[in-house]
Amino acid sequence: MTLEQLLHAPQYSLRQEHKERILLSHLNALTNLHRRQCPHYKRITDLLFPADDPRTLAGVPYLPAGIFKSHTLSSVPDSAVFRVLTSSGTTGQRVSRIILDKPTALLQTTALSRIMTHVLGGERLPMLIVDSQSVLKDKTQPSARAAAVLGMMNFGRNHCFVLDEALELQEEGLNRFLAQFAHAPFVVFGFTFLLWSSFCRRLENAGRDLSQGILVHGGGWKKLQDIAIGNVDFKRAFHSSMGLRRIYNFYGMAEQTGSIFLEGEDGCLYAPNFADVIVRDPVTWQETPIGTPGLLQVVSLLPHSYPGHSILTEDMGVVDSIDSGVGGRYGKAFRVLRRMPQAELRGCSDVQAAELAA
Amino acid sequence: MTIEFTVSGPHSVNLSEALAEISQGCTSQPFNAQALALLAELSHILLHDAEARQYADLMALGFALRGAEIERLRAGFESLCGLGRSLQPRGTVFQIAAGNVDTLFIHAWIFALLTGNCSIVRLPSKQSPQSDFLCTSLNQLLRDKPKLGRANHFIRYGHEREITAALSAACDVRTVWGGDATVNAVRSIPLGPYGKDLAFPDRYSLAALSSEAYLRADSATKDKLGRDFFNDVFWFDQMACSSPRLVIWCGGGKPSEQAAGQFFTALENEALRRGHAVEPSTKMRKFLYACEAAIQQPVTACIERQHTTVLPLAHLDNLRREHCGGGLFLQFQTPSLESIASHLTRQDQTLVHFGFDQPELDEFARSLNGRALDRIVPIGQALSFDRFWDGYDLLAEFTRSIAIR
Repeated sequence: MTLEQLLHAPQYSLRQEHKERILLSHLNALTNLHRRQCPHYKRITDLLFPADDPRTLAGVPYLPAGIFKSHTLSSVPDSAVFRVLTSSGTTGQRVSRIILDKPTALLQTTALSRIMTHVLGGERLPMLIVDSQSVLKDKTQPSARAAAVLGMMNFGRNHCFVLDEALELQEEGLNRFLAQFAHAPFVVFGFTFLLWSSFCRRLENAGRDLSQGILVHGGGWKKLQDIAIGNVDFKRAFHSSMGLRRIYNFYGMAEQTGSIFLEGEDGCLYAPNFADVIVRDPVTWQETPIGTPGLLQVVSLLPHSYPGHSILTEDMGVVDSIDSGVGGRYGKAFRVLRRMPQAELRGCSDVQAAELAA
Repeated sequence: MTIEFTVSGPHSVNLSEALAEISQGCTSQPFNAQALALLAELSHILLHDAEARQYADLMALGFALRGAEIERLRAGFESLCGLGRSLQPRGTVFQIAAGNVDTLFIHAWIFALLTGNCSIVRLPSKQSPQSDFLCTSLNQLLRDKPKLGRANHFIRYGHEREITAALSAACDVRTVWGGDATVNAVRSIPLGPYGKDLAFPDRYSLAALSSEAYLRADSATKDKLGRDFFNDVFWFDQMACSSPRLVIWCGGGKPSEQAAGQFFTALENEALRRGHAVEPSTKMRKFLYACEAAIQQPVTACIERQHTTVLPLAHLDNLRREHCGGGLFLQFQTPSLESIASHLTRQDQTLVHFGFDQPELDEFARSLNGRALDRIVPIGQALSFDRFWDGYDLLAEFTRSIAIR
């Protein structure tokens, strides 16, 4: 199957074994493309992955997510750069810089649309965005958050941003939107933490009816884990406070925009046809069996303008089952558990400089 | 704004109370009997307490404080005195301990104590079992030594520049252990007119081995080198300034390659033997570093074992000294030791060595003309804290020379 066919076939329809064969040949082709086009990538793979084309998915070379923070990796000439996506990510203060040309940007849009129509249907629905419009200010170098909002806006109409610049809920705007659209299906989109802190908590006893809403959210659980809120608590709270039942979390990263892993009816995340996850033991980096947690590696066929088709993340996850077919979804069903544990850094470093100079 | 005293009956006070408390201390004669007794008791605890014995660095500290070692320091100190000069304590030494070398603060404090000074030690904000153990032990030992108890303070405080400024104004010597940024931040805070600064900023360290000598060595020697090098590297996860990060092989290409293979295998075996744990985040840092090095440095290969990653370099021009720790080594083969001299800089602190004779090492040190390297010591002694550190003699730095004629 070509990438085109993978995008247009019904998502989540491929059985794992078949899917891996298809992905492998595409990923090998991408590895070779980037080796030809990106000298930095060639240096890295020559030294760290000197073997020939791998014959299993787990053998595909991968880059650490952090490399996109320290280096700009591009597989296209400067003249072809259409957009540079930046993301602060969660580790350190350095930002990732992702080089997009037009074809890759287009692939991202198409891919996201194929994933979203799977849960939203083909029609554009009214869209409530639980964020501030000000996030979209910088159009030439959008942050990953802005890119995600812009990307999602394509799947809605009558967009309504309900947070102000200070990320406070503007109830008036919300009330207007609900009065007009709440009687029929509509979309709610936002970042997990904002949805929790600026929306759900604020509307706890407000008696609003959002039962027709379809909530799509992502961006990570770290801040919620700190206050011990998991996916089940999150869903229960939205249901009990405003009647929202159809809730889909997604997992994705700026380094593979468009290639998101969306939650199914069983609460697990699923890879679209053109992407997958591999779980690796955090110490040996060997692939772990089903049910054994490990580091998540994400692969995607979208990145053509930068060598981001195979990335080892710092997130821990676990594959719960393969080809379960729940809700018509095949392939790996997985969950993201937490960030990789961070060892205490020892040594004579500069951890206290900020303290003393403050 | 409070200051927490962790020893001498732990308690928290405000700045003016703290200054009043600190001002009650008075200096003593260098190597006075009470100080020696305190260190002997501390050594005994560290070497015999079941909890302390779990930590290699506390054990090593216990050894460093044994009577014979202290006697050696006293002999060294006495040889500095005489001939119309008497060495007397400077007064109060204010030490800002390194962020996260758990036991370094105590090593540095020992020299201030031995020279009869009063001490204020700002402990790292992060607590560790090792530093907690040391504070508990000192608290117990100082209880029946009120004079020393009034003169030695181990404190914690938060981000307050005001406190650092007040203590800086009140001290006679200020030492800063840490990275360049810490040193610069503290330097921006003035000392009193009689105060002096000792700074211990970011450093880099390396190892040099003679390939021929290594290959000639018997297997017992090679095993010992594996053990010793393990200690040099892994005690502080290769994050201590004096832990070697670059390994130089002096000799021909083939013998060097063979020696390196054996040496790193011995190191790996030692790590396995000791059950050294691989931390997931450390492994990730090393992987990221190797990818970055592939781009930025003249790396010719990546040799990965479970605990170590070795990146051979084609040359040492513009050597990048940022490092990830955790058992990653840059490696370089060269015909002779002197050929690396031009690549060394002020930042380079410790060279641990094997297989060179004394005249060779002396000649090498001379050829650097003080441009680089403060310590040239055998493999296994990278972390042995000593009166000579970063080019200073702490016994001399913590005393004032009184001219008597």
